Amino acid sequence: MSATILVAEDQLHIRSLIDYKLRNSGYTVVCVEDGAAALERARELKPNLIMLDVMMPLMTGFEVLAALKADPLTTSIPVLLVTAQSKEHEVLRGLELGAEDYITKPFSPNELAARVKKVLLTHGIR
Amino acid sequence: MSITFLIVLTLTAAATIFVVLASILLVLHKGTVGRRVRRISRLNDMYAASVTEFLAADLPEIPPGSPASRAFRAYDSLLLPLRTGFDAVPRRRREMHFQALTQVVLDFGKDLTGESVDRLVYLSYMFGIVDRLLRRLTHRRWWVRAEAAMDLGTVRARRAIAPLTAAVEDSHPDVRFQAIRALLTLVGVEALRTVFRVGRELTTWNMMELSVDVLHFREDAIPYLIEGLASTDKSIVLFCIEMLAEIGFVNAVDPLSQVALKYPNTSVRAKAIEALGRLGDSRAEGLLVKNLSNAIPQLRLSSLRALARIGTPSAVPALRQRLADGPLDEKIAAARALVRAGEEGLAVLQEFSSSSGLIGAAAGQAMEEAARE
Repeated sequence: MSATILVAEDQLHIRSLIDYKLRNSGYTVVCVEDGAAALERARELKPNLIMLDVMMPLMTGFEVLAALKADPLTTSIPVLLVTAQSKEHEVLRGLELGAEDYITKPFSPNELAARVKKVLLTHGIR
Repeated sequence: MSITFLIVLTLTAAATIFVVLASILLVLHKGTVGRRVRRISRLNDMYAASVTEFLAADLPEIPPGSPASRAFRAYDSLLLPLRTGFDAVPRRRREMHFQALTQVVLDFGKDLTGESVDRLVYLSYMFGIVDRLLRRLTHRRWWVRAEAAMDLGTVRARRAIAPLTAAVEDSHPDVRFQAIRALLTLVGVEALRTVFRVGRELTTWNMMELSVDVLHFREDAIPYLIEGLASTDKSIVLFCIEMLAEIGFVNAVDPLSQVALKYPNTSVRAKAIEALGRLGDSRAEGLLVKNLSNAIPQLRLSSLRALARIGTPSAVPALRQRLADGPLDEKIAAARALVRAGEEGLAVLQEFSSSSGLIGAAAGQAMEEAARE
């Protein structure tokens, strides 16, 4: 059974690209377009990995990450943050909140897929 | 019926007919616009899906060192469905499709890097997007030129480097600025050499936005910033001074000192002196102390403020003199510099704090500020 990845990204074209790329890589992908939906779906699905954009409507990626780590049901799910390139403080804050890894925009879809694979392997998921 | 009544009646009827016709036309226009917007939205979604497939599809293995043509042939095969569909679009609708495809390419271009960008660039060339943008770069309306410059940077069209270099000398500041940013995206930090050589009249807003890009390059930008100090354009020199101070490259002391001594504009010299203070390097002390007796008040004041950042006992005699003889703003600046000049400086302040008048007030204020810190 393939790993399930929850992708939270508000920009439609980027969300579609990530969805397509990860499906092509053999994962089951669930996409949402805001932070509140991401939190709700994460609690419902308990995916193998969550990819969070930092800037999203309703709840930011940081708020979702903090809520996920505070909930015993979702605290162990690895989170990959997507941040803007010029914002080092975003990266640091995300790592402090418990993100497993991060990728900065602009990003390469190939690199994204590789990072997802690496995080999943680290958690023993193929 | 009187003629006046007939005239009023006729005008009223005409106005009513006009309003009714205008309302009907507005409703029809709104309907047409709405249909167009929905059609464009459908086209955007369609091309977004096609471009997504093109960008995310796996390529056959290409051995390292292979010529670029192998990758291009692979891209061609991936683009075939999109190409076929686009060529089948009727001529009268082709422009709308082209604009939708261009917008999708630009949206992706802002957020992607790596091999995906190579694919996007290839797509942009194959579908004539780059050619269209290059033509728009010479449009008579400045906002069209500015948008074209920005978009050429987004699609990473290296063929646009020469036209964008020419656009750095455009008559409109927004066009110049977008061309600069596009060149930085396409060429990297080396573009700063051209930018500082031919660029001119950067606005305050331009400088703020450009500083984000330059600070991203950090130490790599320093040689070009130092070259930029020799620009004949005042805004470029001011920008380079600010960036050198912000990056904090202490070896910029010598070139900044040259600007502080020799540049023909007083405000630029004052900015260079301020930057020397921010760098905090003791090699600037001699120049700053010498400027305390400059005939130009702005330069004396800048030097006093810079010495307050550096803090050097060797400046105490000159600072003492400014505290005694200078106008109020120089007295205050000199007093603050004396606080930072160690025991000798504090001794001078103690001595003057009991004086009456402005000298005593300035000395007292500086000592109070120091106590609060």
